[in-house]
Amino acid sequence: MQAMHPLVALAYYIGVFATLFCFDSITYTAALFGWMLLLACRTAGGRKTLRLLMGAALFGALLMMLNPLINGEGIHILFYLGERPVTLESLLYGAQRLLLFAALLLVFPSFNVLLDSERILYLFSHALRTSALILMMAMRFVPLLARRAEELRLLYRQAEPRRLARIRHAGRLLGALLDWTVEEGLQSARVLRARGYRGGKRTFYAAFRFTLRDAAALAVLAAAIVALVACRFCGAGKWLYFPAVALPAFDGVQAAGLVLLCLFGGYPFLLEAGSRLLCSLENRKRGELLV
Amino acid sequence: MRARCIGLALGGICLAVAPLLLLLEQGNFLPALLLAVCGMLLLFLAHFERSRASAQRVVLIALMAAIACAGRALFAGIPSVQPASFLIILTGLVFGPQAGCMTGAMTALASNMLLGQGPWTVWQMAAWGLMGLLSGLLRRGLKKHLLLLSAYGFLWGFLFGWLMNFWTVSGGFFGAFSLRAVAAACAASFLFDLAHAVCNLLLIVLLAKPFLRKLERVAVKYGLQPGRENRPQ
Repeated sequence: MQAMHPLVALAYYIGVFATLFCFDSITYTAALFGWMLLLACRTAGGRKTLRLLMGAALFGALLMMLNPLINGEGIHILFYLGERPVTLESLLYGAQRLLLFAALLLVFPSFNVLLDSERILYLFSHALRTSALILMMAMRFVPLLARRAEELRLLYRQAEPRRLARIRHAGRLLGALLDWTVEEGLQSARVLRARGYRGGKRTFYAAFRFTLRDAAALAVLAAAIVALVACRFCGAGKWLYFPAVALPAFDGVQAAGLVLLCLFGGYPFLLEAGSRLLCSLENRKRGELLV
Repeated sequence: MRARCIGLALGGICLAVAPLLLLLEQGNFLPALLLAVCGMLLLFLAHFERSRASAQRVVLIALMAAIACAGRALFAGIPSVQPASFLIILTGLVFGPQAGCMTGAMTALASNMLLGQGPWTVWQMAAWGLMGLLSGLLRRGLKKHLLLLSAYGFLWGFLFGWLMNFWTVSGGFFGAFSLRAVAAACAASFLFDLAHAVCNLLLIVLLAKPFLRKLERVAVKYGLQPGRENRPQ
């Protein structure tokens, strides 16, 4: 998906967020969780994903345990903790929320790679030009300012044990940083004006081209999202947890919804497999021609 | 014109779909709220695009957002002390509600571009944006009385935490959405919110006056006072 236009990745992630919040069945959330885990491992690396997953598991497990303690709804009582009943419904609900939380966290490692700052700025610079310019400038200023802040901190190092005095000292350094950069920054605003800011329509270099392949990929993605929403309205992936857990029968709608969701979740892998297949076919054809 | 139309259309769609979600099912309260927040942010950005901000204003907002992000390096040695809220409040006070709101939203977006985006980004953008916007709207009263400004900063420590709690509650970790779940989330975050509030209070009491003086000077020198957004430079 990295080789495609950023609009395809944006549509995919909008779909992922929508489906994560649309379906409240454990199986559906688990399917999306699995795909997000695979995608995070593929794009951001296994070690980083594992670290994130460990943190999420710790926090999530804590919350999952907390949920039945706080949430006493449900009629199937499993056991009592003191005087508080722990119900099957609240446990299942907690498990679904744990999966949702972990899936949500796992979306972002791949999101940060497939829609990095360059792609996000490209996407939004068409619609929100000034905001995109501000964001880009702020991000370019941050490393410079962090370096200057560190310089100031080393220059005026203070071994003051009192917390209040340390805050006052850090504030003085922040003031120095403000003085140092604001005047300089406003000089660069003059440069911006001199180079034609607000001077009318301008041409720009497009780093990403929207090809027919991107249009086809986007159309398939949009069709999948519409079909998933339609399945949701037909009752797919809808579990009722309270007051008593009621699982819907696994009929055609449920199966169709799950298959569609799996295809949608694994769409980046399908795209990658498709492009690899095309590439190998092309290579083989070229080899035959050379022979 | 195009930017305004796209932003307005997207914001309008979000705001229109949000009540529909709520009508569809009662449990959809938090997704509907999230959609409404996104819609309002988009509408604000479209409004900002329409205002055709001057180059000075654009650079100033970018700088204030960057200083708020980088300021974390200076206060890194003092736990729980984050100067971002303090700087956003001051930006709103000196440069007006539009600059305050934009600085708040951009601080959240830019810092998360470096630290990693997450489901919390939209809520942070909304909370810090609202902080800057309100500071700008209430600037006349707040600038005159340091005591009032300190109380305002202290209050925002909690308000920010409560707004951020919505993303925790939207995960359903405190049960299905209810006032009880919100109260449980607020109780769980009380100590963190208190630390944020005390930090805001200390920074305002110790540093607000010299910082206001510095920023006022810049505002006068470069014609960046509130209400002068559309005047030619």
